Amino acid sequence: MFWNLLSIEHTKNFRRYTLRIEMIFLCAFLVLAYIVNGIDLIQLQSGDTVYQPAVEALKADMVWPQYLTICTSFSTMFGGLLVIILVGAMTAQEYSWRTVSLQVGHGAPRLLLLTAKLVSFILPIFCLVVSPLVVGGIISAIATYYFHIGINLSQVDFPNLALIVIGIAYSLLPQAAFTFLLAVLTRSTAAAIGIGMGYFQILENILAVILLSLGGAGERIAYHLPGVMANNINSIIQKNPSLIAPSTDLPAAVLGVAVYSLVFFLLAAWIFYRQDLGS
Amino acid sequence: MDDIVLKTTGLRKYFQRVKAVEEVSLEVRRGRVFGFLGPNGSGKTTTIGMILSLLHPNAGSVSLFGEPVTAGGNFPLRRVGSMIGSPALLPYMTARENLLLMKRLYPDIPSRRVDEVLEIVGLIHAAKRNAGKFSSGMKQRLGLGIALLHQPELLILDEPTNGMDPAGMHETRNLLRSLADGGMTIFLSSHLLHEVEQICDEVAMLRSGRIVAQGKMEDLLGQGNGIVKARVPSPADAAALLRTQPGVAQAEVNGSYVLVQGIPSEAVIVCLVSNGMVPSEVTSGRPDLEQLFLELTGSEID
Repeated sequence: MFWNLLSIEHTKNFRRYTLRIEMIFLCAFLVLAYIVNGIDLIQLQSGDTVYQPAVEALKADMVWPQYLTICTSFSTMFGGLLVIILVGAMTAQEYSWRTVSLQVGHGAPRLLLLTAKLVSFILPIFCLVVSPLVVGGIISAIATYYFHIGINLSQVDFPNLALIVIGIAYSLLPQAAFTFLLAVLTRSTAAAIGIGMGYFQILENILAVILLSLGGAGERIAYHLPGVMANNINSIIQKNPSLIAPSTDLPAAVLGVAVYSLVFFLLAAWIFYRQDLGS
Repeated sequence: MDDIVLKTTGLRKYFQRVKAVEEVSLEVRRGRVFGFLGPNGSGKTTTIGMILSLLHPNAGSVSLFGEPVTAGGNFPLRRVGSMIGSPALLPYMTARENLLLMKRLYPDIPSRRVDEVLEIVGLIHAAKRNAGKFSSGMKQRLGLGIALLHQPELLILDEPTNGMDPAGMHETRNLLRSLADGGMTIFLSSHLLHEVEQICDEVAMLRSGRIVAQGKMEDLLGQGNGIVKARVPSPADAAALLRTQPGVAQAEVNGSYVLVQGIPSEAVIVCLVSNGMVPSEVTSGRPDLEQLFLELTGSEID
């Protein structure tokens, strides 16, 4: 029964336009940024004073292998926002369409159904994270050939790239699970997305700064906020220190993200189990 | 002994201080068409919601095919097909895709069943159109198709002909009758009383969350008071007088006649004569379901 429900949820997720639009947005933004870099490069090369080190540095950032790592920063930057919109819209709208009631009324056990719904978001999250890498990889491969540099696969640290991708996807789990909880609780797309974005994009950053300034217990709390722990995973793996509450304790961050995601899911499950699904 | 497919015992549902359903107990036997009637806000949809495990009862129980229905493990519902209110559809998928998606809940159903169902509900020509672009009647048909997809033993329908044109209603009535003749048990909530009277074997009537009448159609119609038609010199005065009598559900003027419902013809005659209005003609007719409904629920039809 679980695999049947998961299969149904997967089909729903991939047939809707939300995921495709988000992937297109992410890739379009990446391509636009690449074009802007290209224009900068042309201007640097054709300027009155050609500062060669700057030209070489910019060129290096636009070709393999460096650009592959830069691609992943787009997923890091926008991933949270896009996942909140994706999960919020796809979960809450099923209440207004009453398709949740349809499945429950035809014998789908509530907890299995809810688990299938949340698990079904793992693949779309991976698609969001990987799509800029694929598109960026292609355009930078073309640029690499254009600059007669040649692609040397041995220069690409594929294991590290894979680890970065997994790390980004994993770090998005608390935001997905929290938005999922909000969607189940409020049954409203606007509320789920609004509150989710409000907390992870704004409130938590402010909270972290305030708690850090308090020091002592406040500082310890700041290090254990869900978004902070998620950011620390990315900053450690990508070797890019976090601006807010930086930490080097990867196992703690990984465990923290798992715990938060599980707690949010269990809360959603408790609410859903007791929820009246009236018409 | 008749096999009981659906049984509710003492169902109660409160929404804060509102008692939506109070002590609803009913039994639906296999192969019967059971009508569930009531005015607006009487608790019909709430009762159906509890049967389908969508709403948690405050008290009481529901069993399907002898097994209890709970939120955690409601596998008996896999033998049930249902449509409550407006049908639940994915608007961005075609009619066929909606059915194919639901089919995954029942892997044993052959693929050809999807087209069979589309034929049955008259949507084979619109199979590739997005459900979001359907008219309300077409959505109802697709919702009915989803309910029938896995050939359920019990079909629970709430207002199945909503939004349909007369031809669609006629087809749906015939379909339900043929399904019942084929052994399917049907639990039907509808405000179209003449429709219910035509196809239902048994009926339960709800008022303010309580069952006020339940039983076989012929037994219930035999219980009710018919319409008494009395010809009097002053019908308006007679109607005004009769409305003050206990038990009178309705007293209306119709030309030189007064039409009375709720009390037998003998009581009408006694009342009129004792007030100096001697009727020259008195007749009474067997009530239909609508008259019985009005008498028992004391309200307009839902």
